Amino acid sequence: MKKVSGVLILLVVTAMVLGACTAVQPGAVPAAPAATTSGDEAVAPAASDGQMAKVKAAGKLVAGTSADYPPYESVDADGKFVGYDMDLIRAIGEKLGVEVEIQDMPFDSLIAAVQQGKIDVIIAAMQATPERDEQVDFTIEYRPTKDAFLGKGDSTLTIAKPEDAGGKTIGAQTGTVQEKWIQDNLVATGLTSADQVSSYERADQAALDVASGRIELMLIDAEPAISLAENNGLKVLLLTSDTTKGGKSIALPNGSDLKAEIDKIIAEFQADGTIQKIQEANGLP
Amino acid sequence: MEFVQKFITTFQFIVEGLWVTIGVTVVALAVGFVLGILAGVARVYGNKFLAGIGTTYSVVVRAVPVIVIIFILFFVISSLVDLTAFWAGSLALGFASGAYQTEIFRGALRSVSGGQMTAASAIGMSRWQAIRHIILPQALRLALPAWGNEATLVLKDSTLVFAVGVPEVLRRAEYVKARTFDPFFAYSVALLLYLALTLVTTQVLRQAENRYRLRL
Amino acid sequence: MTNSEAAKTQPIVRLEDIYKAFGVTEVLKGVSLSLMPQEVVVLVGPSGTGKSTLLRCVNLLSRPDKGRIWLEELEITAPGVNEDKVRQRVGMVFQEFNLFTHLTALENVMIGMTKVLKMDKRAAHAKALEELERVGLANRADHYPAQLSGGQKQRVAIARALGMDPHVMLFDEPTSALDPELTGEVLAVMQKLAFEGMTMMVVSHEMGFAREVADRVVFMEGGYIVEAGPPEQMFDHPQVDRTRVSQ
Ligand SMILES: Nc1ncnc2c1ncn2[C@@H]1O[C@H](COP(=O)(O)OP(=O)(O)O)[C@@H](O)[C@H]1O
Ligand SMILES: [Mg+2]
Repeated sequence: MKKVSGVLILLVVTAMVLGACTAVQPGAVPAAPAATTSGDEAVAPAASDGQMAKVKAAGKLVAGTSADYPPYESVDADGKFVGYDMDLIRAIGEKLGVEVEIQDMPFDSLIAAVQQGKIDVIIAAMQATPERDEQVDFTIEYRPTKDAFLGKGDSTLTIAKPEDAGGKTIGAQTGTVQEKWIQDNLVATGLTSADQVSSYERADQAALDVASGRIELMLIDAEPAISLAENNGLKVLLLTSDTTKGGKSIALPNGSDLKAEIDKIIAEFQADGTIQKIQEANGLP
Repeated sequence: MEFVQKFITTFQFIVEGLWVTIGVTVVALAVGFVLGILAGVARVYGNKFLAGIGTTYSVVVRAVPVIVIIFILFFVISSLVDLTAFWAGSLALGFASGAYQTEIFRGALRSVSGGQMTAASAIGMSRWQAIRHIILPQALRLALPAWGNEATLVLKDSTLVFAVGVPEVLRRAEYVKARTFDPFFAYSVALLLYLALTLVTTQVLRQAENRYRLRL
Repeated sequence: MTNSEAAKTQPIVRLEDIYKAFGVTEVLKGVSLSLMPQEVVVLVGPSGTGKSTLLRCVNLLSRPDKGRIWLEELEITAPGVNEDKVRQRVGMVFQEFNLFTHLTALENVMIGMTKVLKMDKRAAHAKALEELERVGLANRADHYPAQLSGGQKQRVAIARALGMDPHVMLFDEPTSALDPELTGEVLAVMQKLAFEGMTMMVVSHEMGFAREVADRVVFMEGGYIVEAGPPEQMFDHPQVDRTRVSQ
């Protein structure tokens, strides 16, 4: 008996070592699990085949998230997962008629986890980038990314659309997509001259310059913009998704039949104001 | 007063991760212990084939970052066997620790004097009996200090299992940080908990060392 | 008892033309030797001559390259013989004691009984105490080797070997690692064993012991037995000059 279990353990060890060898060999040491399991298409279809049936049969939808990103997802003092995404996925679960179980893990682990069927969906303020789209399927955007144009508290400028910012002194944080948008759409088109654009190391430095009147406008991601505006006595002149690409979507295993269902529910929520309610409840612009 | 109150609330929240941290550490150490002894014995006393397996295991696993082992076990192995995150994470950590424990036990086995095996053979013990009843008990005692060190390393590496979604102490500290935007309290509490765990572990092992010290 | 002719019909140990080399070093070059029941043979000779190697062949700790060895009726060099079973019947005492350091004196004596002979714990405990009594160390039963003097360690090692009820005892320079004042207690135990009728093969430089206790002294040199005979003849009328030198 003892001998048998000894041999068994050795076999397991061998299998693990061999497994480790074969899995690590191709390419360099993977920095993220996505790399470890990319090209693992063999598993993905199996996991997604009739995912809807699987979820309904289990009576529960396991949603993976990375709960350190308020107000989208975090853990409150009672240990409960809260935030915009959590409210949304629970509402979706209700529509599907299943319970929602939240599984917290690092953002980098989520894609591999959904591919391996460890979780059913990802809801983690995730943008549907083309690289990710190869690994998983994305639902329609449930929330577009928005930018904000901020001006001085007593600013009289009216910015009805992004192009109205042309010809004004404007600032953005160095290396951000907002800075790139200014260069591509205001400077390159000649609406604004290059010396009217200031580039800042940090967003709060730009906010100080707006407050002091050194520049008239700043363009920034809408989410930090609200508290930044409050703290510096600035005014939100325009909230827009015209300057941005790639909103937040829910991710599913490639080929999942659950996608159509969730797309439908999201569209419904957008139409009936559910999304709006969730957004307000979580203090989002 | 507010400081104290805040500290207590933070502590009460994070401390719930303590059992997870302890559980992961204990499982990993136990699994690593079994693997380490098997591979250590295989390397020192096994035939070419067994020694080869032991060496490959130890060398390969120690060459790979622990986090990669955890991912592989969770995402590759657990697609064959259904493991929860806790078990996958703990087993993976144990699998990694086993490679380090292999080296610890190999060194300890080697430092048991050759006369012990000869004397055991001379009273008619088989090789395996000699290893089990004579060599290993002495090697384990010799290995205790190094093993204690490994135990504290595994305790710290237990933070890595969050990679597959096991919310241990450090992750709960991160929840607090994300919620309060105040890293100081969150990480201070985590630091205190790890410090306490390490102190307790070291103390227990020191007692064991004194009790089981080999008088040579 | 010592003179019972019937008991002496068959040798306890019979070595026939034993050869052993380590790599290119030929250590034993055709050694033949028999031990009759209750006989005490003392092996002497310069160091590096192969005395230890010869002793280790008797319990197969070393396997001869050529030649045959019998333990009573069993040819232990025959293929398929279980070495562990052979060693149970042959007690061995080493120069460096080799007590199990993690076990007490009593446990050292017990472990072979419980793990090898599968005796039950209680019986082994009682027998181990008897063996310790036999070497005068019952009062040290709970001491660890590190808490014993060299002489005491060696006596425990003897008790450990005796616990297996060996048919023959091998001693490889049992007193060489001891301070001179401690050799007496070990030699006394060995003498007592001899007197009780134990068959013994002893490598030793203790000429006093050889003279008093040996039935036969065997002089080895360069891998050969160069002379053998009763101690009086060996020490007082040696055929080979070296015998006198080593005295
Ligand atoms: N295991 C071994 N490997 C290689 N050489 C050995 C081994 N054991 C003994 N020898 C050599 O064999 C020779 C005889 O050794 P040994 O039997 O110990 O002699 P003695 O006991 O008479 O001093 C020595 O030259 C020694 O170096
Ligand atoms: Mg010798």
